Order: sequence, then structure tokens, then C-alpha cells
Amino acid sequence: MMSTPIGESRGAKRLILRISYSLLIAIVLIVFLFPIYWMVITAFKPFEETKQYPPTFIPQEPTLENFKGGWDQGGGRGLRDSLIVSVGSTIISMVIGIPAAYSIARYQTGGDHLSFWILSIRMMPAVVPVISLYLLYQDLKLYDSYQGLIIIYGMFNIPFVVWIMKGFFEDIPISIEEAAWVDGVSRPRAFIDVVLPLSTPGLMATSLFCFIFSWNEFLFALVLTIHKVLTFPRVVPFLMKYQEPEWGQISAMGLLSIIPIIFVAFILQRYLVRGLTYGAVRG
Amino acid sequence: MAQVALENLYKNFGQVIAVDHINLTVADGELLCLLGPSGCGKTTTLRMVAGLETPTSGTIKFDETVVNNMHPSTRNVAMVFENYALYPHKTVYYNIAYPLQVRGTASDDIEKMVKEVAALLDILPLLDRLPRQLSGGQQQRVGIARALVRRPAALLLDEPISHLDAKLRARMRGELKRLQKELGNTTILVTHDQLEAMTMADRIAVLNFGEILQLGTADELFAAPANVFVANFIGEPSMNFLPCQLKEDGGAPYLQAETFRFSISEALKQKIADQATSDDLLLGCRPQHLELRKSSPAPERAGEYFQTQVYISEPIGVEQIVHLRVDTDIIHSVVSSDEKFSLDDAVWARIDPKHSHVFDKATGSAIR
Amino acid sequence: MKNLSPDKFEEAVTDPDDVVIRRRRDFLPWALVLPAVLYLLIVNLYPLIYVFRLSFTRYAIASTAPPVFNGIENFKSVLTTPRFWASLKVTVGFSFLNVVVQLVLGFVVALLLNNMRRGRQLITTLLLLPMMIAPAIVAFIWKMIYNPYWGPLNYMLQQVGIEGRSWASDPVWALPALLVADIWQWTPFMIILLLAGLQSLPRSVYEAAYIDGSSPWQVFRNITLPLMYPFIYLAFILRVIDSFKIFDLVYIVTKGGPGTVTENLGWFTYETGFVHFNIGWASALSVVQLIIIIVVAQYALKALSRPVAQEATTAAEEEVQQPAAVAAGRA
Repeated sequence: MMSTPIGESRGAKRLILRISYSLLIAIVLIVFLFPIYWMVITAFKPFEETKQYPPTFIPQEPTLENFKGGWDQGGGRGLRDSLIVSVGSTIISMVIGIPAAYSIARYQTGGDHLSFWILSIRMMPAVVPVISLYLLYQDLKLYDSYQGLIIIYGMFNIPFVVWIMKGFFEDIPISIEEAAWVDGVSRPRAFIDVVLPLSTPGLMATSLFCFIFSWNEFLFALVLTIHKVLTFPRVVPFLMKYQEPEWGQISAMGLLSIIPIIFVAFILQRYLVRGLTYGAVRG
Repeated sequence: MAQVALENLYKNFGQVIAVDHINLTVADGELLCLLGPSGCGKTTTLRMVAGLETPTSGTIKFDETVVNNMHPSTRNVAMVFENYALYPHKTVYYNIAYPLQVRGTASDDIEKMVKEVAALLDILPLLDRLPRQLSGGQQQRVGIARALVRRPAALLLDEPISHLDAKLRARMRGELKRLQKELGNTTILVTHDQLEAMTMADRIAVLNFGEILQLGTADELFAAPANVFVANFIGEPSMNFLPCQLKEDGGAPYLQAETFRFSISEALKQKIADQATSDDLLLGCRPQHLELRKSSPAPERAGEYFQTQVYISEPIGVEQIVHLRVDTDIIHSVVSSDEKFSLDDAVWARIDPKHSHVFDKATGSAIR
Repeated sequence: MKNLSPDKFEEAVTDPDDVVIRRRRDFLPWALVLPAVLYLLIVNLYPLIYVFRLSFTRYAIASTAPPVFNGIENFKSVLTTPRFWASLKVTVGFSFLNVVVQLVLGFVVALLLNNMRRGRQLITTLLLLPMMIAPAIVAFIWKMIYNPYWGPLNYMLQQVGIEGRSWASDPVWALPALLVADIWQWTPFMIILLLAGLQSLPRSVYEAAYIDGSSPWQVFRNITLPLMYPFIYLAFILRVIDSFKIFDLVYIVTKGGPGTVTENLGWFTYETGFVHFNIGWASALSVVQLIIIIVVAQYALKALSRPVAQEATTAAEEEVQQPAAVAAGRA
């Protein structure tokens, strides 16, 4: 770790530096947390207060009516549908992606070309395939369905799973698997008993990512669903189409939508040792 | 416990031949050592016996069963890996118990067997620890315990003690040998350390470039090496090789080295004539069989000695290794520490004819 | 080892059984990979081919007429429409400005954080937040902040004597407004990635430099910057590609307006295809976009697999990478 020799500062000079340093950090934190804070307090402001000028930085009359209102107006559905789609996509992507990651890690299946191709899919702008998907989905009766979204989210999530888990699997020495085989364990069982437990941080990271991506995705949800399925990001413009958008309600729902993410991320953080940049760079 | 037979075993990796038609039978209950330098094919051979590599051609049999196509998990072998390959996420107890669990052994029996083998290897107090909390020696013993906890058809050891410090290695050599004798497992040990092979194995197969250069007991390999490679590889310090040619002086054959002559018998001369491919020979003599004297020898024995100069001497306790300059070479002698040698002393050396070896220089084969 | 002249694998195999086992073992890796490959082929390649086909047609869903093949008319039209070039300019300009500002800001903050001992973990975790929130929600938050009547931004500016504006509907300020929002969301990614990089730099080099008497600025220029190059490059490439794809922000805050000031390629395509339902034309636009992205992605993929980028990996291992991970994943 780099320490900061600051020329020959000592005593008072160092104190001033340390104070201004802390100040800067505080400013950084304020800048990056303020907008979130703003949404949080707006969630608790009654309608009139949200439109008050000068705006209040602390709710004068905190209320929970936005939560109820927003929930009824679509927020509840939004959270539920997002949950269904996110969990579904995460599970499918993990189930399909993990064996592929293992195969590429252990056998270099498909060499560079396969890895590159899979990686490159992640870079595709959603807006490119969405046009034909719109038409295709109508024909296939996948339009406005949970399956429809889950399937298309797999397009981004699976490459991610393969990408990250490949790195984690490569880190597990094959001799440990060999030891399990020699001990009398079949290949699938060895995978479950030995490889998976040792790659838990990776599993956590990838399932977290898949979940978050599906939870936050907007464009596909916008184009490919309309009435029956309402994932949360769509609730925002949905509630904003009124003349006077209910800022408070939308904020309340927004707050609700980020709580699971924050919760999951903070809990899982303890298990995450290597990051995606790690897996990312492994290519 | 089974007899392991390798018939015409061959393995190549692309253009590289790793194992070149090896034939070998390990008797039931025997400890056979595959000895050789890095890259000689010994580990590949071992892994083929385990089932971790597939032979390109040839057969591997356990007793009468051909096991080539059997997955390692069905062969009932046990292996101790060079890097131990313990399960990092399981305790020592479960590392050892795992092979039994997988076979559906009752948990009471498992506990008994694990504790038995742990006691045998002196790791009982470590059963609740995780591998990363153990020292190298402890990990190695856990690896061995895991292998011994059941009765495998063959026990395979891949350089099991090469990463331990010298003292621990010395101790483990004895313990492993004792364990093998007690439990009677058919064992194949792979190592590059000739001392390990010599002290532990019933028989040793010396390998290089995928071929067996000689198969025999430690004594056989030491006293009657079949070629230069084996002669050089076995024994520490290595055998001395002095280039020479066969000559005759009025009916008395001898080998002419650059600065001295070495008398040989008529019988040996005949063998050389029959077997040598050219005039160039190597006279081999182990340092232990190279006598030294500081004072010049008695005239009637003068012919047996030749002059050398001390290059350096290394005391190793009861004995010392003396490096001697002869012609342009350095040879070694192991003698008692009683006599002291100083740099550049002139010393007389004598090769014990009963322990001398002659090799064809071109082919490296011993002439016997 | 001895060498074999051209690989005579088949000749070396004498036991036919042996080959079977090997084939079975050779089949397994492909079997494991097959579901993923098939899935991706179907879900990705097929729609792409369809778009490609559509791009050669004239197809407006609004009317009931079926698609009519019209060759490369659409492409000609796209490439000669000023609006296309405008949106391309917006996209590219946005991406570059975006990433450059994020890099600089991120670097500065990373340098600040680098010297912290206690609390660094906590702060990095807090900085995770912007990245994890749905871009749609981030857009919504900023729409509130930018509100000319009761948004906190105008209020705070007024306190320091700056006149407030209607940011999101101002022809001059709309695009910068979006930039600020995106910079807000993704600078933490830079911070965390670069911080990881800084943490990985060898301390001994710095010690030597200070003993030699270098000033902090010299150290920064001659040591830190060059050593950080791999990380900077990685971050740059990742974020540029993602900035090309921005959509949510535009949709929620400005809808491409006022006029087409904030119209980037993504929005333009969406509007053409799903507001005006001019499918054929929008498809052609998509194809053009795809080509652009492919070209840029070539550089990205090379960057990602360069050995130099491996250092980014190892560095990230030691610092709090989970945030960076989540970020890179979301990116």
C-alpha cells in the first residue's frame, strides 16, 4: 500500500492536510450519496411537500402514504414481476452457464474463438436485436410473458456466468478433482462435492450479477412486455405518465426496489473474494 | 491388493513420446519404485495406472483384469499426490473419511477406520483442522492417511515426500517403508531421489526418455548397473567415469586411461572384444571404492595406483568426499575422515578391481 | 524427449477399445458446452439474422402491408440522413466525454482513497450504491433533481447566486445534464477499479523514488501513471462500449429532446422502430450500429485478453473487487 510522504510536513501542517483530506472524502461521499438520499426522503414526503419550493431537505411531515399508493398503482406488481423474472433468469443462466464454464476452463473447449464469441455477446447493444425480437415474440406467443423476458435476459447473463466462473474453475487445481476421482467419486459427484464448494465466491458473484442485471433491465422490458408483465423499471415511466407525476410514490417504490439489491450485495460481500474484473480480464 | 502388470505401455502427447513401450509387473504386496529425472515418463506411467491418463496403446492389468478403460473412480486405487491435493474445504477427518463415505460405509465403521489410520500416522490430534492450518509434513501425512484408509488394489505415490525438509524426509522414508510392510499394499512409488528409491523399494525401475533402463533391486542397481545412465544416477556421490581404451602389453591386457593403466583379466578382455562397439570405453568406479593414500605405495603394488591431486575435500561427519584432479577431470572418493587432505596435495588413488565397471562409451552399456 | 515425426496417432493405437474411451471423453466437454452454445445461438444469432433481413425491407407495422424488399435503400437512406449523423455525433461525443470525465474524477478520488487506512472498505462499499441502482431509477432521481421548480439543484444554485434553469429541456444543457447523471452513476466504478490498481502497485518503487527526492507530482507522472496504464485502458474500453448503449437515461429524462439534442443512436432507433413503427428503416439503423460496435469491440476484446490486463485482475483480487465486479458486470 502506498503511504503519503508529503514532503516534509509535520505537526500543524500535517493536521491541516489531514483535515482537508477528510473534508474531500466527505464531499465525495456526499456527492455520491445525495441523490439517493433525495429519493429516500421524497418517498416519505406527502404529495404537496414534494412540490414545495424551497424544497425541504428533511421531510416536514413524513408519511407512509406513498408506499401504499405506489404499491397499489403498480409498484407492488412491479416488484413481484421483477422478482419472478430475476430469480428465473438467474437460475436458468447459472444452470446453463456453469457446465459451459467448467468445460472451457478444464478442456479449453472451442479454444479462443468460443470464448471470444461468448464474451462478445455481452457487448451487444440491446436495441439491435430488440426490433426483430418484438416481431418474433408476437409470433411465438412470448410477447408480454415472464418466459419471454427470462429467455432474453439469458442472452446477457449466460455469457457473464461463463466468463466469471471460468476464472474461478481455473483456479481450482485439477489435482483436487483427480484426488476425488481416485477416491472413488464419479465425475459429476466430484464436481458437486469439490469444485462447487470451492468456487462459492464466484457463484455468489455471478448469481448476484444475474439478479441485478435482470432486476434493473429496462429496454427489453419496455418493448417486449405491456400489460401482463410489469417489471419494476417499467413502473417508473408507467407512473410518470400522469399530468402530475406522483414523485413521492415513485420514490417510495424506487426505494423499495433498491433495498433487496443493497441487502443482497452487503450480505454477499463477505463471500466475495475475487471480483468480476478478475474474471473479466481472464477473457 | 493386486498384482499390477504393464504390458507394452505406450503414451505420446502429440509429437512427444512420454512412455515408450514399458513392460513391468509389480508383484502383489511389492513396493516398486519408478526412478528417474524430470520428464522421464515416471509420473505419466503412474497416472496411467491410476486412470488419470489414457494409454495410447498397451495394457494395464490388475491381476487378470484389463483396466485401461476403467475410470479412476472404479479402479480401487489410492494415490498420494505430489502436492497432496487435500480438499481445502473439508476438515482432516472428512478428507480421510471421504473415500469411505463415497463407498457407503457405515459412519460408525468410518469413524473407527479413520481414527485407526490417523493413529498410525500420528495425526489424531489434527482431525478437526482444515488443511490450510497444517504444516507441509502434516498435510502429507493426511494425504497418506486418505490413501491408506481403505484397502486399494494398488497404492500410488507421486513424489510424496519431495517437498518436505531434509530431516522430515529422512524420517518419512522409514515410516512409509514400515507402513508398506505392515499393511502389505502393492505400491508404486515415483521419485527422482535415488536415495529414496534405494532405501524404500523392493525393486527399482530406472527410467529415462520413457524407457526402463534397468529393473532390479537396489543392490543389483548399485553393484551391477546395466548402463552408464543407471550407474551415474544411482549412488551419491555419482560413479566416476574415466575414459580409456583396451590395450595389451605382452599378453597382459589393460585399460589405458590418459595418465594411468588399469590391469584387467583375460576374461574381461574377451568380453570387451565381444561386446564393445569401438575402442572407446569408460572405466567406472564408485567413490566408495576408490582408495587413497598420501604416501607412495610399495613398489610391488605401484602399478595399481595412479597419481592425482586434491582439488577440495568435503567432510561429511564420519567420512569425507575428496575431489581429485586426474588429467582434466575431477573424480571423487569417499574415505574416512581420519586422514586430512589439503588443497593440491598429491595423492595416490587405487581402483578396487572387484568393484570396477567397464562401459562402452558409445552405447553406454555395461560390459559384463 | 524423443520426437515423433508427423503425429501418427491412429497408427499408434492398437486397441480399438481405447479409441472409444477417448472419444467418449472427448465428447464430454462439448456436451457440457452445448446447451449454452445452442441457447446463445438461438437467442442471439437468430434475431440478429432476422434484423438483418428486415433491414433490406420496407416495413411499417402501422399499415397492414407486408414487408417489401427494397434492397439497400434503407442503408442509403440511413447514411444520408443528417439525423443519423447527428445522433452518431451525440453518441460518440457523449461516450468520450463521459468516460474521460469519469476517468479523471475516478482517478482523483482513487488517489485520495488510496491513502486511507481505516474506513476504506466502508467507503468503497457505500460507493457501490450508485452502480447498483437501476439506470431507469437513476434517471428518475435526476429528473427530480433537475426539476426547474422544486428540484434541489436549482435551489442550491440559487443559494450561491447562480440562476437555475430547466435543465432537461434546455437545448444547450440537456446533454450535459444527462452526462452528469451518467457520470454520477459510473464514476464509482472507475474509482473502485483504479483503486484496485493503485493498491497493486509495488510499494518499493515508490520508496525508491522518494529516497531519490522526487516530488509528489513527479512521482505521479513518472511512476503512478505509467504503471496504471493497463487499468486505465481496461476501464476506458469497458465504459466506452457501455456508454454507446445508453438508453434508459434518455428515455426517462429527455426523450431525445429538446428536439433531437439528446438523441443518441439507441434512442433514435427506438423512436424510429417503436414510435413511428418504421421497422425496416430502424433495422437498417440497427445493423449500422452493430457494425460500429463490432469494430469498437475488437479493440475491447483484445484489451481484455492482453497479459497486461492480467495485472488488473490480480490487483482487483486484493482490493474490494466485489463492487468493481458488480459494476463491471452491470456495465
